[in-house]
Amino acid sequence: MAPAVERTPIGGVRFTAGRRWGLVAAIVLAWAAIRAGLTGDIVNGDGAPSLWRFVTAIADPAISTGFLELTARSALTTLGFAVLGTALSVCLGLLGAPLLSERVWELDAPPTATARLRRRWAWGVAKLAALVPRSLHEVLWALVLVQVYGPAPVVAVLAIGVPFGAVTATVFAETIDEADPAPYEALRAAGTGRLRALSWGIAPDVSGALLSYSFYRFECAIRSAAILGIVGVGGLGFQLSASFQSLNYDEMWTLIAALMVLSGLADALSSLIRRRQGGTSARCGDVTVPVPPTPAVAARPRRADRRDPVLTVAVLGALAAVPVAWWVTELDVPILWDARRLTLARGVVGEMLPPHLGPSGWSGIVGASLDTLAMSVLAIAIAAAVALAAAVPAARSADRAQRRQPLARATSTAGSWAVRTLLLLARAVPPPVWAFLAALVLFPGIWPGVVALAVYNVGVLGRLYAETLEEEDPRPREAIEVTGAGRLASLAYGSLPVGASRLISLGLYRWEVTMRETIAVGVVGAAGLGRLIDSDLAARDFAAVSAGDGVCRVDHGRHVGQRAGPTCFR
Amino acid sequence: MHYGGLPALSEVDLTVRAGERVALLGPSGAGKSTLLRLLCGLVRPSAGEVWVGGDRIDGASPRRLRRARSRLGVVFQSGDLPGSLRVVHNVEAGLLGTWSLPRALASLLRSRPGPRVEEVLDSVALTGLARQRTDALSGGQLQRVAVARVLLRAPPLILADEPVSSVDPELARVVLGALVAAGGDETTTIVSLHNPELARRYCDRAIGIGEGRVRFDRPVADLTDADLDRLYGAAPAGDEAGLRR
Repeated sequence: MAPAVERTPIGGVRFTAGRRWGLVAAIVLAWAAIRAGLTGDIVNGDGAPSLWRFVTAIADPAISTGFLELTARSALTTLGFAVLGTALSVCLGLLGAPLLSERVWELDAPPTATARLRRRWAWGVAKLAALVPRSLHEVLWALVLVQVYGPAPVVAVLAIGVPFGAVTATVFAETIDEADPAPYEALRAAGTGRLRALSWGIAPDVSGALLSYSFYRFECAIRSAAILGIVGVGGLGFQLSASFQSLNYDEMWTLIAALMVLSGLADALSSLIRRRQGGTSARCGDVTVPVPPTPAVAARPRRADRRDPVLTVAVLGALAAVPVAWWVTELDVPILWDARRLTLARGVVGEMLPPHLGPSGWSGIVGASLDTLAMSVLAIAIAAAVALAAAVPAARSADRAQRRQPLARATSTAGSWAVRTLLLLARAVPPPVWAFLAALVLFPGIWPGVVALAVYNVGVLGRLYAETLEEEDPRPREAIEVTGAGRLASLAYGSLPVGASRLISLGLYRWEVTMRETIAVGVVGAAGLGRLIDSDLAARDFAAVSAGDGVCRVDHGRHVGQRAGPTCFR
Repeated sequence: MHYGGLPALSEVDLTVRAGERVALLGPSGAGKSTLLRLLCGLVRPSAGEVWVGGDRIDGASPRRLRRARSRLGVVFQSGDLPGSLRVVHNVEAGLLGTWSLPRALASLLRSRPGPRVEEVLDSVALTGLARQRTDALSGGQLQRVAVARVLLRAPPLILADEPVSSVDPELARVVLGALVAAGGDETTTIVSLHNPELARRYCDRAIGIGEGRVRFDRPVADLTDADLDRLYGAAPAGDEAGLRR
């Protein structure tokens, strides 16, 4: 008999740590619920008929020719903003990545301590320069840019492209840092210039991951373009907001359907590109989502001497889409250096600096920050629980489907599609619109923001959780299933223990993003820093706005200091 | 049975009587694992029928499949134990088919092993490891945890896919002995093995599988070296990709 391994305290410590974290999470959740208010006036029953009218209007959407034309034009505008914003972010990403890559700074570095220190300092400055734009929500960029350029298309493109560009540069840089440096070093040793060595030695290795991530950003940009419409820059979000304000719920459903189509197509394209990479991972900050090739892709014989036609078409299509989007959105770039606008911009920047406290003072900022924190905690806790419950039926298991009878397979597939459609609806509608709807039946405060962000995040997290369940190793689940255990027990013993760390990572990551998204619901009336900033903007108190920004940045910076990549999974 | 258009098993017509101990022999990729997965309903045959203890497995409704599976104990080759669970939870998972959902969930919160769990862990030489995290174990220990899960249930039918491939020869005899003795004489055991000596020692019947077909089916007492030479010599190089999952 083999000697038994000594029992180590490792397991015990981990278990204790897990329970400790669970207790901390419960305390934070309880605090957030108390902060939001569990008693008193929360539900406003007077608004229920309005909400009911909105819900029932789904049966009678606006389908007049005129409105369908308007919807199509708005959808093209939103798509155009997303295409141009993504193009700008990828350009900024490609330019910024070498500056943010630790490896690029270290490669060829002279071995002297002074030179190394100089390079570390320059790299740190570059990292800091990228942190500022990426830590501000697109809505905030748009709100400030609108003060200078009005509701011009360039505002939407910059509001998406600049923060996304900073994120993209960071992720691209991390991808470069993880690539094998040997080919680069071999080329440098053979006397090749630095840029050429990067292009030939590193770029081929990372191009697939960069392409994959670029399409993921496009998926995010569609949702951001819709959100930006709410602040007046046009597109579906703008029309949605206008229809809501005029109580034309039938029009809202038509616009929501268009948003779902756009969002669904972008999601599908992004997933397709990731899967065509054949087992590469979808990088999002530090959270790596491994995407194994589908059985069909894995079985397909690969020709090393031939490009993947689907990827080639996707890249050429994306390149061709840029000038078309430019034409559709009537993008006016020269407005950026128009003398009058530049004077306005100088004025706004001058008023923003130095930051000062708004009329509510420190107590206002601290109170709004706590509201923001409570709102994000409650929203993400509710979203994670509902998303997990939704992900189970939404996840498609090819193995499980294969061994079912045709009728059971059809029923299961129909159920999966129904849940996926609901998840798509939840994430296609911008959070401010969910906040408008929540405000119909909830009194002003933290709860409308909680509900809006929770619904939106159920859509985002539900999809990510479903993908996680689909992609994880099926063997532990199968081993439980063959004991005769039910689906929930198989989930608890076979699937969740395998995917738990990734599910928790995704939830925490969305929490970080949700903190910034409180700005988007704040500007339409929910509580928190967004509300405060909106009030300051309404009073044209730009210095107070920048003080509010500063709190957002500190709040956000604390998280990105731990984990990079703030706007992924939006 | 096909995978990706390639035949994994064909013309397999077998009947195993209650209480028999059957060894599946054959080279890697021959179709042994696929046969075991067919028997527990994890894959569906493209043609033909699979019956286990009076229940038709292929295409059964989830309820009927669960009922049939509650009489099974399955040991997989590897990768079937979540590393973040404790050993005790992975072993107790063998009883999930007989537990209610609340009991199953409550069990995850309790890490103290019951006497029966301690007993089965002792029988596979894992004494004192019940509260260990599973990902801290070696490959051989993982296989023994999977065996312990089956021993805890002592089901009437045990299916085991190379249950001792990562275990040293002496321990392999201990573990396999415990497995075939789990339910006494009434237990039926179908186990795939690479070592014919273990088959001769612990099984009554040997079925040779090569290239997805039954090459021989006879009592182990009649198993000859020539049978084994033909079986293992017949495996074409590089056939694994098409036949194995």
